[in-house]
Amino acid sequence: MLGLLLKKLHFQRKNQNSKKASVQHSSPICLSKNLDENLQLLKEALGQSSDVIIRDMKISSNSNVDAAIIYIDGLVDRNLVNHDILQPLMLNLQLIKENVSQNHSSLIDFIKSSVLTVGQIIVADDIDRVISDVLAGHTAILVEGVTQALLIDAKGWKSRSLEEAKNELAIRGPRIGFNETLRTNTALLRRIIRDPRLTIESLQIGERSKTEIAIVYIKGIIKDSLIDEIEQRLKRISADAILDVGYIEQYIEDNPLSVFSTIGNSERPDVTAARVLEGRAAILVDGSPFALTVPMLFIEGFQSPEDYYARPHYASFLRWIRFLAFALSVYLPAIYVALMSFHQELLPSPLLITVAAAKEGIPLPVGIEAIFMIILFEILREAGLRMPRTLGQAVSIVGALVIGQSAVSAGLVGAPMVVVLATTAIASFVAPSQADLGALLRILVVIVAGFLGLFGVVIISVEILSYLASLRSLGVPYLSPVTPLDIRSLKDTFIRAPLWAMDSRPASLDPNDTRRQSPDQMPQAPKTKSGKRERQ
Amino acid sequence: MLLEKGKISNFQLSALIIGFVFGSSVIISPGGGAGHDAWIAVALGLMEGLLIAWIFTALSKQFKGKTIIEISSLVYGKIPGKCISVLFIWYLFHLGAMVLNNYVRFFKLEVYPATPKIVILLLIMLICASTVGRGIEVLARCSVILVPLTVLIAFTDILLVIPHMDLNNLKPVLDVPIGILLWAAHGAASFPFAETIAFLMVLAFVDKPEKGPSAVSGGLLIAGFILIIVAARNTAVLGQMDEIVNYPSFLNAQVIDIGDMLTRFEVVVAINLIAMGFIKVAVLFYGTVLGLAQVFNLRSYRTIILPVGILMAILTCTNVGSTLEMFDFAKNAYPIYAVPFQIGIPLVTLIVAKLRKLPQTGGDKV
Repeated sequence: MLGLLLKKLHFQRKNQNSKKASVQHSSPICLSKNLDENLQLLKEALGQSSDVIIRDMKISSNSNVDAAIIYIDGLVDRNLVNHDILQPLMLNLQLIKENVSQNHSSLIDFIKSSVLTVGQIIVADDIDRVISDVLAGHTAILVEGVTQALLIDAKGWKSRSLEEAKNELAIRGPRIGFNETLRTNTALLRRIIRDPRLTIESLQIGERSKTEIAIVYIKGIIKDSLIDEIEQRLKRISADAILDVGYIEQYIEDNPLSVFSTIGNSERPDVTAARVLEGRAAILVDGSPFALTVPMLFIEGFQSPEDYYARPHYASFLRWIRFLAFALSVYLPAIYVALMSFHQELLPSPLLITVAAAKEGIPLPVGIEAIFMIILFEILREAGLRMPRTLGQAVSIVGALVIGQSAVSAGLVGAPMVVVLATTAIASFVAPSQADLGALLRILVVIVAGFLGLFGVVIISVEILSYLASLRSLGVPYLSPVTPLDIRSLKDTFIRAPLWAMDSRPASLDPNDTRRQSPDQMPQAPKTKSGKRERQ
Repeated sequence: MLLEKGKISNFQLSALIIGFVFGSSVIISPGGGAGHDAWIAVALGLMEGLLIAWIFTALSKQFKGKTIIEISSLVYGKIPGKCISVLFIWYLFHLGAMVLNNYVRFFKLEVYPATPKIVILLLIMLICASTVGRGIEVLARCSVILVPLTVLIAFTDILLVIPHMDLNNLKPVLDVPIGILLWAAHGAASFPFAETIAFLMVLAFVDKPEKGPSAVSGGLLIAGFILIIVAARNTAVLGQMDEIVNYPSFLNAQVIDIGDMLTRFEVVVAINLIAMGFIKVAVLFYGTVLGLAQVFNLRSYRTIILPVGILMAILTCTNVGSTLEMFDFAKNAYPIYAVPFQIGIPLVTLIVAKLRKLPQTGGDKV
């Protein structure tokens, strides 16, 4: 019902937008020969904003040709504009004795080829292009009598410097994280993968924000139809603005109403590069320090970058710890509730007596108590996240001491429940990318356990499993490689096999090139004199 | 017009078969009636089950990519074929209701005496219906996760009761009169092994049909092997009690005691078996709705999931009056009632198809 309603709303909005879009892009206006006319048009389009700079000047050897440069203050590098655009145009051009100004169109070629000392120059003849590029940070040069404009890439604005990734931490391995500038992020990826087939495709999405989007993949590894599918899904987005990768995520999901995220994200260039090398595509958005990676498998939520930098045994062990922690964070309160209200015989008698004594005199049934505590915990967590750092201590004091301690001593909540909930809370932080999912599932499972005990827990788990099995991420089954089973890819699922043993890319991604390395990568000890291999 | 676009692999088919055979047989032990020779009865039943599986896999191999509904239309002609199809669908539908009954009555009696039966019934029904709505692919993927888990639990269970076993309970071997043993063996064949006849609705969607028969018999062998061990275990642990109690496997788990810490975790074992019941009911439910959709040329089987589910729930509530009546039917009437469906329909269809030299175009002869 909800789904139907959402779909309908979405459809209506889409129709409206496509109408709007068709009106806007009806007729491209070409530049005229008259400079004043061109400037007038640009002023009309860009409005009276104070940050739009239009600088008139006279160029050529006898200062008789009018010209103007247009840029947006703050988006361009002023030094570059002054030294490499204005100075050559106004000074150096005059030094040249040849009279090139006779022919206007050859003048603009001359400026482009011999005067400006900047890298990227685009020649445009349509005014919409000029406006959109100026808004993106280009500097435009218009010359009297020429129907073309030069667009110079002299972008330069303040941005956050590259810092350590804040959310995906690793003790070993590179520290750097993405920042908010698209070019910096693509450069970070390019620096890791110097393969010429690493392709960075650009798109502009957002009717008003015109946000720059980049799709990063390696040609020859990724399945070709996957790229077409991603492009198709991105191109049908017609939103006002794309403020973060989170926007893109919600527009391209396979199962838009799913609680489970079927699009991966990472703020680390090394993780993103590893996924791209496995045959995935990354989607970067200007203004977002995260990269989306598609397709995503459920197992990715339990993989951490450090798994691959640490030794395999410990990495595999940690992976099991993460599975266990996730299971605890979802099921522990529910199992406690089920045991206390339905299956008391399962607890050993001494433990049962202790727990029963602690629960004596508590007014709430254990199910309601659990839900109450879970919600309280979520409130505390949210408060800790949102409020100013300086107040942080207050929350922990109130949360830990007042609520934890005094609720128990006042007899409102049983002490075992506090223990259960604290364990759950800690466990939920082990796999942070799954924490929000865990919180929702936890409440659902506790409610069912309160009504139906372990039977309900199993029923709801089977339903969740069946739902998970039906999910797809860009056509790839979400639960692969476990089901549908792919034995070779299990090397990086329940265990993390040594790197030299992982010869092939995950088969569920169906890459063009399945081989990751030659199969005999196991390191060998050098031969001894007797000809036998010696191990350490 | 394709009603089901999904494809399942042979491995998934084997997992589905194992889950299906475990179905309710982990609650109600097959081979009852043969006393302490129950495990021999189960082994003989497995043989018979394999023979029957050979018949229906041969049939489905001959008509690749076709369910029994389409096959019988081809073999018998339109109207008679549909009549036979409706009979077959009835069998699936009724069997689904019986399996649900086994589970619901078991939970009512042993685990949740105060909970109304309808709540348990509707919840199992709901998860089956939602999975069937997602298609055979999703069901097969679930079975790949659930079946290994259950096998693991079954083996742990067996390991933990080893201290309570008395192998003398199994002696003397082959003591039961041969007639009774064979009857019990046929009982074990009709429930659960030959019930895999329901896979005539699923085999059409296997991605490598030529390997379908080996996947079916492989699944049957694994499940049968575990059921033989379970039957032997029940007798060894419970002795004479095995014949008397309604749910010997459940009682078995009750004796488990790990260092006075973990006792009475039969609930955990029992509840894990829901997963298997889920696979069995879902396969039967799927066969019913897909069969009905094919008989009546519907565009999608998803539209009739809700009405068929409600009907199945109603049949579950009404078809037997008491738990003892259910056991009586399962032991004395069901082995005969099931013969026309489990052996009759596939065998006759196969013979008629051979005589009429069907299918005439394409398709390999067996």
